[in-house]
Amino acid sequence: MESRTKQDLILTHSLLLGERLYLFARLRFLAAAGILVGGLFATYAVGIQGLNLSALCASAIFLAVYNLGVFFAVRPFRHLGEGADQHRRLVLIAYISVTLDYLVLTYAIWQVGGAESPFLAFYLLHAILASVLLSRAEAYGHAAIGYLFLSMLVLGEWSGVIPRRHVVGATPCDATFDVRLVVTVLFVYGLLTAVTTALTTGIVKLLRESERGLRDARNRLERLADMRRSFLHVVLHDVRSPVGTVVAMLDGLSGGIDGPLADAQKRRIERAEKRLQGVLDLLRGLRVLADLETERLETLMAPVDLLASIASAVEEQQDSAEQRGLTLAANLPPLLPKIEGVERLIREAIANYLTNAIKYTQPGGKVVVSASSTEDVVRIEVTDNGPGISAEDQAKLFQEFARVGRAGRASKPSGIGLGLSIVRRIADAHHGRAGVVSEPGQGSTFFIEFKVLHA
Amino acid sequence: MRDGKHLILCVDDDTDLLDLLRMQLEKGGYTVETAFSGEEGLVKFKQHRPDLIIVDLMMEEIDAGTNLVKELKLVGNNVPVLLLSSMGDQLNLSTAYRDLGLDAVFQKPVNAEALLRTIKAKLAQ
Repeated sequence: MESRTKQDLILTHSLLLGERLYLFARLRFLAAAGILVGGLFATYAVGIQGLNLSALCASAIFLAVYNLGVFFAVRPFRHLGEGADQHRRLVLIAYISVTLDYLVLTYAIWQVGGAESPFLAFYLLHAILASVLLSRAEAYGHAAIGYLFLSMLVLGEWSGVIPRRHVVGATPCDATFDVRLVVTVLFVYGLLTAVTTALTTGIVKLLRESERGLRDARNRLERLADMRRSFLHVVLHDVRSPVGTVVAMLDGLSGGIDGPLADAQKRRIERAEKRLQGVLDLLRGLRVLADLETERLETLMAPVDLLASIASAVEEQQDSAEQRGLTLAANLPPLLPKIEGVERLIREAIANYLTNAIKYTQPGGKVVVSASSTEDVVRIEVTDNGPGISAEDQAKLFQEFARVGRAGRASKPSGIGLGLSIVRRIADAHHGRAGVVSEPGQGSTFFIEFKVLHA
Repeated sequence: MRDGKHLILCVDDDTDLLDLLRMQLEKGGYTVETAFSGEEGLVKFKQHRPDLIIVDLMMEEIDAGTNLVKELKLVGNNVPVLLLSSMGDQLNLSTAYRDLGLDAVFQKPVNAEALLRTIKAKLAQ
């Protein structure tokens, strides 16, 4: 378990390394410019005396030149995850560049006052950068290298091996440089470097862990979604086929294929068929849900002639409307702009509105399909003179598995609450809109809108 | 034609449905040959030269139905082919419908009367 955790952390970290190194390479150019501009500004604007501008300039140029190499070495891995297989190489680049950074930093700090310089704090900045950039052990390694450079500078100046540079105005220029200063600087910076590295790597570790947690959660969700998809697949393929066959057999039976039936037998078969039709409707809805989840939905989008889709949906429902004693009519313009979509799903949406209207409208009622368009939107409406829907129920209507009672209707019709949620999903998949306009006692108008396809 | 009746070849791997289809079609006045798989369907097609073919799109083997329709085309079939499909077997059924040169697609469960009406019309053409 522990080793897996470690590996995952390194993996996450290695995914980021190329991107980070690239970011730091760009920042390093700024640092080089900063040394140069800072030196000039300090000398000519602030009036700091004793700065060796040519030495600062040389360190800036050195920084910029080796950074060019780093920049082009990490540039190919600048996007997230690209350097994962080149991790060792990138770690090596990180080590070399950070070591060179310390070298330049130490040299530059020596130029601006050495042990007395306020710029010593930049060692801490580097420790933080290494903690963010590298693994925990590597960050401590870099902090140690930095502290070593700092110690060498301070001890070198104290012992006289390295000549002291006095920068008047920027450092105290105290003539006394005794061992107390050495001890103080080394103690303060040793402590600060250690604490900073520990805190920063601790925070980074937490971040990486939570990132791993998120990734695990996402993987789990993806697995669940996969399971749901395969489950749908099984239901669709292994349930629908026998149910379809049974419906066909019952159909044949009531049609007298095996000889005439008594009325009571016929009625019972019809009831059985009706129940099975509910199952088929559910399967049909699930099928659409499965279709909507296919990742290749976008690739199936094509220009759709809505008039043809409406006509075929109306034709499909004509029989059941007649059976319920309803008039089903279409009131369509001669032309409608084309839209981009998946024709089968659009037809399914219209058919859903129609079956819904047919189911809820009392015998003798009327269901009308109409369509209209503006510059940008095509709107299809299915209007019935059924019982209407209260505002409260309208809000729930398009939610999954939410069946609401219609006004003035005591018994709920059989069927499931998947129908209208499917219409909404189909509209969403087409970047369109679905909804209802209704008042109790005034009938209902269900609409779906699509964006016009502009050639 | 066999014994003065049109011969219809039905290909479906669901034996119950095939049985029912046979009874319904025979009741409608046709002679029926059945096949349980795409391969058998092709053999029976060559053997009996039917006047009309009914194929189940989704047999146990994926694409068995569409493959059979393509094969039939290749061996020079020119009689009408009707396709049976379970609700939206394929999202792009309409494309398949066009590309395969099908004469009609029926959604399962098939309404016997509608099927017989279509068969009659197709055979009259």
